[in-house]
Amino acid sequence: MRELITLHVNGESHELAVLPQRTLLEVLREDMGLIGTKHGCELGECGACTVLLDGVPVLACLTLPLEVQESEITTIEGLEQQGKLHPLQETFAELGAAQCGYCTPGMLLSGAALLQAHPCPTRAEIKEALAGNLCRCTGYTKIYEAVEAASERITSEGGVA
Amino acid sequence: MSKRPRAIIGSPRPKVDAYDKVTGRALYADDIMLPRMLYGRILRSPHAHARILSIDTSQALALPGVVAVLTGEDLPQKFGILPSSQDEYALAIDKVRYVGDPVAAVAALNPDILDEALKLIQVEYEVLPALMLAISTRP
Repeated sequence: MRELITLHVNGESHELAVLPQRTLLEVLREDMGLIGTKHGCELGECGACTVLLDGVPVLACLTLPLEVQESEITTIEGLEQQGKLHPLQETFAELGAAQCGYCTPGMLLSGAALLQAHPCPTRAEIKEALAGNLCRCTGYTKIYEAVEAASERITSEGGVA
Repeated sequence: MSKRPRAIIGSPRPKVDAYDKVTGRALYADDIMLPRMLYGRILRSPHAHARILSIDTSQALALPGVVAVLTGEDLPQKFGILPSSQDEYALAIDKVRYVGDPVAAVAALNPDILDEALKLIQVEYEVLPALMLAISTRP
């Protein structure tokens, strides 16, 4: 039996009829068509399914939509604002921090959450914040550099992450 | 001698799909959704080397939502990458040769019942000896 729930995703409220055992990852991708969030391990180990729950990175494969109806959910699709890319999205593209790109949505959201809380993170703090997002392609260096470059861009423009 | 600024050589450029990837717009195989699509899963051999004695798909087919179950007998056509290596089968015929060798395939209306459907496929194996060492066992 499907249950009627309301999810607040990327600034919009959606009323959905979902099977109670569905994970947030499945509902975002299959019921809402937001395929930017990726299936990785579906065990909670790889971070490909990372979304932000009230600004905090969580694993959508381990989250039940029924339990997050009060929260503001941000997916990769919601990172850009009115067509303007988040500085992290720009630096990831410019520095080549995305190769196959499959870990990228999760990396970007974890990175955005980090920069929101710590606008000038050290390399060690970046590594710690992104420790839950695995990447098989890049070797991580360019990703860390892209976070640092975004941090510089944000602080030099005097803007907010 | 005049110096021309190097516009392309030596300057970094974003990959052609960089912006699709950082915005979540890039489509991967798992992202493709088509209207009324079916979902499939493969039943694989648990044995490294075994003869397939029988496969009973009747219970899996009877499961509501299962549209089709295929075995090697349904796909007898061999194929291969090279003209000289046309010895591959899509699904195992007669023998399985490694743990994970595909034995049967299920197509269903939704992905929830695929695991259950696979469990209902009854495969009878005669387990055969498997050579696991790369040393000659001939006298």
